[in-house]
Amino acid sequence: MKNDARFNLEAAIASWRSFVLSKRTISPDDADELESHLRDEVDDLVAQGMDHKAAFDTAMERVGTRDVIESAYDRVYWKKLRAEGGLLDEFQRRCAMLKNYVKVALRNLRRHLGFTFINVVGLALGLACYLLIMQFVQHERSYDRHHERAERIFRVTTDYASDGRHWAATSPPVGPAMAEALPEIEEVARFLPITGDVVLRREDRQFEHSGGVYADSSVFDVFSVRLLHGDAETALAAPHTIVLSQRLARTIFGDADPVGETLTSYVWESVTVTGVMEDLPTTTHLPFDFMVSMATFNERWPGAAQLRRWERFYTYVLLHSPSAREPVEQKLSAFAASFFAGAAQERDPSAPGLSLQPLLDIHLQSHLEGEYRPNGDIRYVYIFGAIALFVLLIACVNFINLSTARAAERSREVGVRKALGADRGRLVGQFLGESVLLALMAVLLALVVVLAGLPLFNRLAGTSFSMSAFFTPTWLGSFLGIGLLTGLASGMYPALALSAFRPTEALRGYGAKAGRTAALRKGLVTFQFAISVFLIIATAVIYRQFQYIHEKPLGFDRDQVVVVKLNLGDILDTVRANPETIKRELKQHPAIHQASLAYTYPGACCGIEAVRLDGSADAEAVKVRMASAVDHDYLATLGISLAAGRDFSRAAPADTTAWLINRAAARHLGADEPLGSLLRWRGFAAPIVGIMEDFHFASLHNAVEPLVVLLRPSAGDLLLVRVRAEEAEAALQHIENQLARILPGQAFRYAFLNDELRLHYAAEDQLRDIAAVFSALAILIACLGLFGLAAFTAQQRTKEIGIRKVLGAPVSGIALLLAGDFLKLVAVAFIISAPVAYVVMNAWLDAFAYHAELSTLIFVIAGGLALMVALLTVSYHAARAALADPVSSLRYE
Amino acid sequence: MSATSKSMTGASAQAIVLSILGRRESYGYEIIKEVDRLSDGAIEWAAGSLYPLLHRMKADGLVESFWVEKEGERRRRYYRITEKGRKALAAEKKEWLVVHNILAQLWGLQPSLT
Repeated sequence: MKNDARFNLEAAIASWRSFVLSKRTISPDDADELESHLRDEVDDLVAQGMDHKAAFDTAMERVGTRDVIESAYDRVYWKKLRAEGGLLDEFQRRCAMLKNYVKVALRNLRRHLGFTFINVVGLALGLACYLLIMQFVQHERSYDRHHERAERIFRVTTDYASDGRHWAATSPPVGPAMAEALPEIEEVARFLPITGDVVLRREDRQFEHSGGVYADSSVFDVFSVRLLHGDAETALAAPHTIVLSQRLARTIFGDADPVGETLTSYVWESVTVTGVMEDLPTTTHLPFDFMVSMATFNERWPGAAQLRRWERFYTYVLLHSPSAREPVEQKLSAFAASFFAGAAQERDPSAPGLSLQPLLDIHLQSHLEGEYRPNGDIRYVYIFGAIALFVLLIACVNFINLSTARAAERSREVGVRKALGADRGRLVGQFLGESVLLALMAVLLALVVVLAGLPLFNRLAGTSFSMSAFFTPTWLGSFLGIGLLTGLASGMYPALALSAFRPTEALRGYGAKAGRTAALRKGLVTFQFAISVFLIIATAVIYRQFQYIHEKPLGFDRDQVVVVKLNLGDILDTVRANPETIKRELKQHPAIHQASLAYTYPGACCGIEAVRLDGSADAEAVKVRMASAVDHDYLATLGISLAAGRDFSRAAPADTTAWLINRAAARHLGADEPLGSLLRWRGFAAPIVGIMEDFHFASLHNAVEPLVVLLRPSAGDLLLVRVRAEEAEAALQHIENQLARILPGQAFRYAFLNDELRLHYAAEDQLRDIAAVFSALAILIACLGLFGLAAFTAQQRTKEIGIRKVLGAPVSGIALLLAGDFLKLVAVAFIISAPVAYVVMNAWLDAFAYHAELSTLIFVIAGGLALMVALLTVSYHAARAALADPVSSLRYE
Repeated sequence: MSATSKSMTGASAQAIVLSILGRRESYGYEIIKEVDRLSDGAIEWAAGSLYPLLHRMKADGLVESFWVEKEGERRRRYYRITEKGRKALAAEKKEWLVVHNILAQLWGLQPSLT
């Protein structure tokens, strides 16, 4: 029995015991027991002839390895606690530990105020952007969800396979016929928008209002439209009944219950108020302020309800179950074939098909012809969502970068903590505690930023969110949740990386992983700037396209044309009775160049009609856009030029009716010499007298379509007036005076053509502003992070810089050295994101039939801008480090 | 290095401990030695798993423990079966006999239990 002299059994057991005791789940009593066991084992083994060291090692092995003991004891720990009534103690201990984490975290944050500030502000900005945009996304996605039966409601649409046109509406009899033929349909409701303003009179007061619809009485059974007054069963059953929104009712009647009151109107003579409905939420694709019973329409225009090829009715069906959609769709083609079989073929030779569209998809995914109003766009929701995520990511990256950058600095702290017995879990807790605390501060600040930025955001996104929208439990919850998640997610990496340091290496200075974290940091900075550069390029391209739209010659004079809407019945009759007189009187004013009475104007033009060239070889009808009523002064007022032939002329007596067509129509009609040919439309024929240059009567999203213009001098309901730019005010005054002379006391409604055209690009307008603001924010947040990183690098390299200076390096060289590191990253970021931006933005531009070209200049400017911003950001620290006195920097330590 | 499968050992451990303590009070090391002897070295328990088991049984009220310091021996923590433990042992016994009977019949052994 030879014992190794260097092995001290007692010391080994003592050290083993202290290790066992370091586990909190093992009490001193338990340790005593284990020790007594270990000693029994050792004694036996020694008795069998082992030396002390071998006996100790074998006994250790039999007792079980560290991990086995730990987990086995852990498993019974809680049970024991409960049996011994120690739960409260344990809880208090954990609370104390948490308190300690917070205390240490706060101390750490206070000691590095710059770091804390950059992190909190960056994260708060990122969070605020994210929340604002997500609120918008949420809003867009919430359309029509307030209808209880939304899942079962479908819109019926009309599909012309022959020319690929898909209409959002159907003809009037489709709905009722479907309800009769298809048993899966529970109920049908139809809407017909009332075009233009309606004047409602009550006693001697009158109220002009747009946004009315004719509606079936079943609307209350299909949609969740709640009546505050009146009976849903009967409200829209009889002719001459009207249901007002609460808002409108209050305007007209004040707070009194208006049910039973009578209003008079030019169109329906008199209507009785039979109900007041709750104002519709803004999140509806079909907003209206009042409903007139469909029976009123049927009485006023008898026979219209039977037109099978008049796609003006928005038809909604309520199915028995959402799954009934498929069987209904299968039967629809047969239904459509038989339904349209007998319909008049004249307008359009092809028979349309019908299809169903889920109500909830309409707002974001439906872009059919003749939508009730322009819908939102799911792509923009995705784009905005992506921007929100990007900005948040950039903020998180700051967090990770700044924390790992401090790793080297904190490695000593980690080493000391570990040497003092802190295990990894405790360190992870400490670091996560810090980042969660930071994140919570950021959440609070973000809330302030959101509230402060809300008005600006509302202006940008065209929304009207109120502060209260953010103070719902859901939003506050998700607010906190996202903040915590961000804190945890971005704190996780630094926590794991730092806590993994081995104490020996950590105490020596740099951690073993310093090189790897530096590489990660560089990667993340590159990622941030790649996103930023992408956003800059995207914004620039959107701006350029917008400028292009507004500067592209449209083929007509869009400036200084005023559109006067003559929806008021009495005025319209007077003007139509003698259009030449009113135009002459208008033109007498020196500020007015031209005036024209028309039915349409560019930007709000035109319906599709089927026409046929007389005498063409195959006398087949072709579909063209048609401005069905303009007068002799139309071209002159709008400044549209002629390619061939002549304008309508008062001198030519044959021009009681005549056509002008555009170049696209001339090509489309297929005649060699269309001038002088007769063009037939609905059994009516007139000669083509001129060919117009193509002008953009629709938005630049679409190529110029074939257009025909019919001379009907007194059928228009709009006055187009070209005014002298400098005297627009006087001109408007003159127009008002003239109209007031015809019918005193009427309001005068007008719009500048340019503003009307702008409405086509509202979505792009919105995208432009949002992209601009948020890419600026993204850059700002990225730069905040860069600023912090530059500060740390400069600090880390203090000594190196001192030595370089002593050896004679110039200040500029040193500054360049420091800044160069970062600029390289920005350059790499540019190389990564430029091709991506090129592809993505090209795809976006392709949505426009007419678009600006992607010039390299945009890329150069975007790259230069990112580089310059980065340079400015790091130059402060680079310069400061370079200018520092080497004596003081080298004396350090 | 037990040849007996782990799940088997796990399931039987409590029954074995109760049976040993049912005869006389004992301490951990002795229990392990006893099991080693009875199984001819086939079952070799580790202290790291026996003690948590004992503690759990104690928390469940099946056994109780007390420290004993005998002259000339080291201080040891003894375990003693409780009344509740005896009931549990009786129940365990019944279950294991059922299992034993089934296996004995299946393997063609003579049921030699009386």
